[in-house]
Amino acid sequence: MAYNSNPFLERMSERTTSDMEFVRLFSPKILEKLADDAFEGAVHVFRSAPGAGKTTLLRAFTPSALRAFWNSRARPELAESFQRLVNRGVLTEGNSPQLLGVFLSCASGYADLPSSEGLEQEGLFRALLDCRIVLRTLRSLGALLGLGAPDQLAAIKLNYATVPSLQGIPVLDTALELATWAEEHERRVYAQLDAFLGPPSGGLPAHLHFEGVLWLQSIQFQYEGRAVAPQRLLMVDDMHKLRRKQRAMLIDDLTVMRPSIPIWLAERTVALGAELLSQGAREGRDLREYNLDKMWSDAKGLSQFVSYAQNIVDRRMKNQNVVPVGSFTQCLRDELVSSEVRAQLAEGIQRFRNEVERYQSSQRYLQWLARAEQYTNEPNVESLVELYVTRILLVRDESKRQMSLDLILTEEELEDRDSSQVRAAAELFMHEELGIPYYFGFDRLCVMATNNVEELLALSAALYVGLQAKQVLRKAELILSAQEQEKLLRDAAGRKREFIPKSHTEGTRAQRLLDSIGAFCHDQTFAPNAPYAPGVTGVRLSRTELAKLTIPSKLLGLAGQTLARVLAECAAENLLVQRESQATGSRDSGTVFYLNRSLCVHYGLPLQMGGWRDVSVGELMKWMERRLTPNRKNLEVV
Amino acid sequence: MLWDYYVFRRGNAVHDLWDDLMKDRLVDLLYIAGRGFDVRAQTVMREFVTGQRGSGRKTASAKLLMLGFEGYELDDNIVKLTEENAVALEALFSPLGSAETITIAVPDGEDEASPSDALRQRVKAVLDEVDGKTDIILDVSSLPRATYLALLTNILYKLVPTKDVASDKPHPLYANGVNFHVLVAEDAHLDGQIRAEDPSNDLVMIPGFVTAWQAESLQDRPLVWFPVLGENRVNQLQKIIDSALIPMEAEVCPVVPHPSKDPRRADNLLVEYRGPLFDSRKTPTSNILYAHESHPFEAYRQLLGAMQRYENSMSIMGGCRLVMTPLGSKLITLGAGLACFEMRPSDWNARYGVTIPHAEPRRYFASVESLRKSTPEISLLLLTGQAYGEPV
Repeated sequence: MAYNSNPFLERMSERTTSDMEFVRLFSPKILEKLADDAFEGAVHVFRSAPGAGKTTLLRAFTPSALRAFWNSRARPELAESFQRLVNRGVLTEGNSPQLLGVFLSCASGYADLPSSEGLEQEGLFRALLDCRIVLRTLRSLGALLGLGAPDQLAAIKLNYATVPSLQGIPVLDTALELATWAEEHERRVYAQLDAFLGPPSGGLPAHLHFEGVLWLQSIQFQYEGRAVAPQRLLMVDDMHKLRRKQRAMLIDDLTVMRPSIPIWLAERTVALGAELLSQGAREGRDLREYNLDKMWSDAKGLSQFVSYAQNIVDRRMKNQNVVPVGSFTQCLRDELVSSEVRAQLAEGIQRFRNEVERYQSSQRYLQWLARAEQYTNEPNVESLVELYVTRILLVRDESKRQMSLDLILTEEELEDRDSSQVRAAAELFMHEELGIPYYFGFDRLCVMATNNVEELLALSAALYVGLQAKQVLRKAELILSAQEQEKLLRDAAGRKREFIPKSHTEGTRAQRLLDSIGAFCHDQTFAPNAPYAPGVTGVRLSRTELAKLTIPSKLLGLAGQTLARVLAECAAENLLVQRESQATGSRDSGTVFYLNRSLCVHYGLPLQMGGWRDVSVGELMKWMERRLTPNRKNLEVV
Repeated sequence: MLWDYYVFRRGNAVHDLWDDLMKDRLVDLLYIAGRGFDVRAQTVMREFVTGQRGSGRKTASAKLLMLGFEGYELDDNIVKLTEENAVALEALFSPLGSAETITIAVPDGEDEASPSDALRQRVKAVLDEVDGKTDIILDVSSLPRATYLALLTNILYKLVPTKDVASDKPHPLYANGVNFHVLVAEDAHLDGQIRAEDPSNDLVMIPGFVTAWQAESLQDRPLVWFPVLGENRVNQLQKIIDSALIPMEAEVCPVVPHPSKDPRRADNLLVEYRGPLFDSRKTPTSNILYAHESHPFEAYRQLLGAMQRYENSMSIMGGCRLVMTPLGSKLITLGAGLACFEMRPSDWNARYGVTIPHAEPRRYFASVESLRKSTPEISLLLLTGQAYGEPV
């Protein structure tokens, strides 16, 4: 008996998952973000943190997935995907798919090839990649043509008219013969590597160039008397799994080759190592780089991500039958119901009255306090927000006021000083002091996902467990209240933080550093005057400070190198989000490291990006080794 | 089944076996141990050396090979304990022979050797010392899991090049009379207290079991996964899953220790691994395999039988890949290693393959006091040699 799995935890991007399942769950909105020139002959590098959708994007262009899209073109729920692929010129209404997408992964052991001197190792790497390109191309071709058995590849003839002279790839007549050669070639290499009892017998191949690419872009395939698969796309995933030298060599050799077919290389940003901390990207006509994380972070990115996210979670929800609801988003209440937080509202009002007691004697605040008094008579969430806004503005005014005329502040002045940031800070203060839910609703769920699909699914999975529980308990309404959502999401965020040392190479140090940044941001955020409303969620290293880490020098020693490594890994794994900050009249440019939004939930911080504070490399080094704890008592006005 | 009859001893019976096996003959000994922080290795070595120096035993030559490990994050007191342990091991062995430490060269331009490459180098260095020995002792107490599995399977591969049993030839496990002893000092309570964190992003591949995991030509074959579960290792299992090479359609057969001293141990493990194995994948509970907690040959039989059945069933589909992930206790892991060794195809063109990927943790937390206070029980597996028959 199979265990009922959580539909949000199943990973659908792996290539041997059912193609129908894959196309059903594939959200076509990612195709909108694909650059217009992504199908031109050049090397295109896609980078992101894990879980941003690189492998899913690549898999969508494999022959079996394209055939599944094409076969499902009449189905309403898949029509959008089909249409977007037609718009990209990848599919047509009339003919079956013509694009031959060849998908390879670098997780297949290139980094484990025995280390030996220069050319020998490089040659073996190229030879192995070449025979895999050939093998995967021929198998993909079989899938593209809808051939069932591998033996049917014998019906495909190979035409070498335009293929340059290649040393490592033999000239054979049929696809079956060449596929058999490639299989045996690879197995022989591995048999020798696996045996390793004595020195290699000298039979290990070595190629001087990446002949597989030269072969792929020029070979012609003939099937039943006609040319097939005229369009080609080579996709190489998991480039971060290569050794540094292998990766550099692959990108450089391919770029220099100026391929006539598009070559997509996908890697996690961790592959850049400490380079990730440097500003600027290397790009040119033949090498184009795309960061999937940053695709969603521009001006309209967030609303596009919400739409994309909704598409994904709703598709997943339809893929299960345990919880009988159609749309996942409908299960999440977006508003706070005042009746559910009655006690907290009463406490909040009383707290406000106690805290503004000291302003009663001042003429200056007469009108503000009178206005606030009206709200104290209406115990609802909106009124409490007004009270907290008033409180923040009172503290701000008090701290800035100089010894001058004690003019009465009017209600209009209060409204002028009010802003969405102050309101957001007020909501957060209400959450911190009274326990009024803050982390709920689908929009905030998307923000918490930090533009990452895997994180979105992990958080949705936690909420799904809540829905499952309601279903089991036969609750009338299968909707999660704000409190329920917040509890589930905070638990998920806590688990994410706990899991950091268990799942990252520098996890223990990373956790300490993140905890310290969280504590620092918390202290800055909850100063009574909310100076950086809605709050601080990141720290910035100025250009000068960053240079201490990125420019090789012995100044900081081992600790500095470790910090660079930890920061790079945190940025690569989406635990910290990097943003550049421009220079102004009063400060240098620099890089802001914002906390992952889920971690903001754990540390009780706001979800908006924006607030940050400058820190030094020395402080970060200290925090990395010794966790900073939040100073929750007697926070002072900043 | 190669180890239809086997030799397995515990506690004092280990000494009785050594007395019978080693008396009145010249011993050319290779002793392999890890240069680590686990002081249980001293207990094991002390007991062996004391016995070997006793009457009736003659040592022609003896060499201690200590395998050094770099790149681990350890507290200062653990680092100090590692140094003390190494000195103590060398001192303990000195009456018998010399010691040598093996370290790994890092390729130019890289910060460190790839874990698989480093492991390959270590194994090769050990295999280069095997020729001419009458007795090879592998102490797994102080070695990381991937290392002792690699040594176990590759030393066996060298000693037992063919696995076919023929009535007119010595049993393959006779191995020209070379006795291969595997020693384990197990203290379950202490093992549960040693925490392993920060799993490496690079999976380690056991040499000799790489093809089935990495060969492109086998990627389309169905995969059967045997994760052998152990406490506090969910993160390592998650790394295997995150490598995206265990497809959703893979047949998953979790292996849990049962019978066990703690009758609830298997249940607790299934709860601990619920997320990655059951919530994320549709793993049928009927696939769960039960292997004896402290009897490696029982674990070997269970796992070997399951692997053979799957290989047989899937041969009509063109073959399969059998993947074992060793996260359990040492004795079960050894049993699983023996099963993988026996299943490993001898023909490179075979339609199936066996592979053992592992995510090695880079940070260990252990209490020095607990380590020093440990009183482990020694177990011995005699895998080849005179006990498996005289020449025909």
